[in-house]
Amino acid sequence: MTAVLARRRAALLVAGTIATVALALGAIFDTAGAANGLLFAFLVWLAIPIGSAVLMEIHTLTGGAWGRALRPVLADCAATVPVFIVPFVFIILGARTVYPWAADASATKWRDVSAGYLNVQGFALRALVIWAVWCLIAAAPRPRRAERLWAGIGLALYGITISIAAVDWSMSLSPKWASTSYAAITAIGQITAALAFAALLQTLASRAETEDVAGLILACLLGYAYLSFMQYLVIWSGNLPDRANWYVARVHHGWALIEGLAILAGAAAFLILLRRKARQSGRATAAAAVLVLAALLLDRLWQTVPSLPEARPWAVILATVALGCLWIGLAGRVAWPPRQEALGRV
Amino acid sequence: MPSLPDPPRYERGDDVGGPRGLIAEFRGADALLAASHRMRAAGYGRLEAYTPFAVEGLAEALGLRPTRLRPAMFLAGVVGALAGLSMQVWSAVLDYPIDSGGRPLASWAAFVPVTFEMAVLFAAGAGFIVFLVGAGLPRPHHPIFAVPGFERATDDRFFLEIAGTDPKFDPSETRRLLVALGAGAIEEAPG
Repeated sequence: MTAVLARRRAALLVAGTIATVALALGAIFDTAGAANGLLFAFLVWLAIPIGSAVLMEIHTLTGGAWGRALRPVLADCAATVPVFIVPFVFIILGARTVYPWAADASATKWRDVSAGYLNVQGFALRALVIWAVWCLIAAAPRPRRAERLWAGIGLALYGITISIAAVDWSMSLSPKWASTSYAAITAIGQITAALAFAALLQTLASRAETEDVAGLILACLLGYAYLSFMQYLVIWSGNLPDRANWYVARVHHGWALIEGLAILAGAAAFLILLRRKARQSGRATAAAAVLVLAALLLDRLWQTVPSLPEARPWAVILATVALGCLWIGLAGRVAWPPRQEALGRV
Repeated sequence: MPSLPDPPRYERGDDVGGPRGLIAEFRGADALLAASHRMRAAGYGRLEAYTPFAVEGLAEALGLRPTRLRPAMFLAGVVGALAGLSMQVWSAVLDYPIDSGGRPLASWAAFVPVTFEMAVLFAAGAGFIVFLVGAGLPRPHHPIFAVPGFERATDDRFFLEIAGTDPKFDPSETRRLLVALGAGAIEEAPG
């Protein structure tokens, strides 16, 4: 991490600890509320470490100045993937208060789905496999020989595991709803978040590097908007109650405003990055990265929280602050094997 | 019959009367780039380069004004989007209204793909046309092809041209500067 973050590491860890204690106290009175808030925070912050790991795999395969420039931050972020097992254990423990199918087997469209797949045992078993693969991709030391082969295998495994994870961890919050592009949207959202986060923290040395990174952010943003819109268009055209209800729940009670703000932030980032001069400027790219992260956060809020009837605003905010502060505070400290740059940095 | 002297022959593009510029040959992209920077620093403003491939940073080194390709493509994209959108709204609402599953006649979601495609089509088409027009293409011949050795601009040589109309231009002084910058052959520009 950059020196700026290193200097604030102590403050971040203290703030994260205070928020965690407050969330734990809240959980005594409202376990369901705290667990729901924790799931949201988990989905928000997990995107950056796992997205960083995927970007590193891509860079190992393709090369390029953008990856060499961003690698210090990406490596620090990716190394923290195993940290996220801790909140996930609490989510499994509170699964009955979070996932409708965990509490009531008839919540799914067909009973067989609950019996054979969407139950707590199956959820935990699949999560075990997903975490094993993700820790391997993100944090395991690798032989330097056949690096590219490992990167290719890692990307293929990510493609499979993210499909299972996106369905299990967030799409199943609305058990009767399904979208075939949901996992792809989640995956590209994770990659976009990691790219924007790294671009924000890493000082880019040259104009060419900045232009590469800014162009990648622009492409990711377009991919995310494209897939999100196509999901909407397909469901809108199909006009089936089970599918359309997901969107209906997301235009009432002010949710349309949240998504409207997300679209505005994304559009603003797009317009900034459209200009070549802006793509060559570190400042403009950083501003666009902030807007992209804000858009992804608001979109995640809009996607997830309407399906979490037990989520309380205090829990959502506390959990997001707690997990975010602790995670950023820890990033750069848990690198394995300890890298030379990490040790040398202040 | 009295014989008249042959009239002077001019090729198309010849700048009749003005002083002729110089074309200097360099052996590498880096040498050309360095020479461009030095010439600019020495006060020369009317520079042009010919290279076998795109050299990064050369446009800035030559002080060329930014390309008008991007704004033109952007404008054409906006026009294309508006055209695509209004075509669909017109046909769905005014010309041939059909109730499709009880949806509103002007259903924006259904119009987005075509609107987007039209924006891309117009922007790409405008980019192609503006590039050709801006580059003065198609054009079968250019007087600079007559410069000895110039054909290697498409192979392994890098050329820097200093216009004779450049306020700083002085045939012998400019030539001396180019030699000092490591130029190989220096030829007179054809116009």
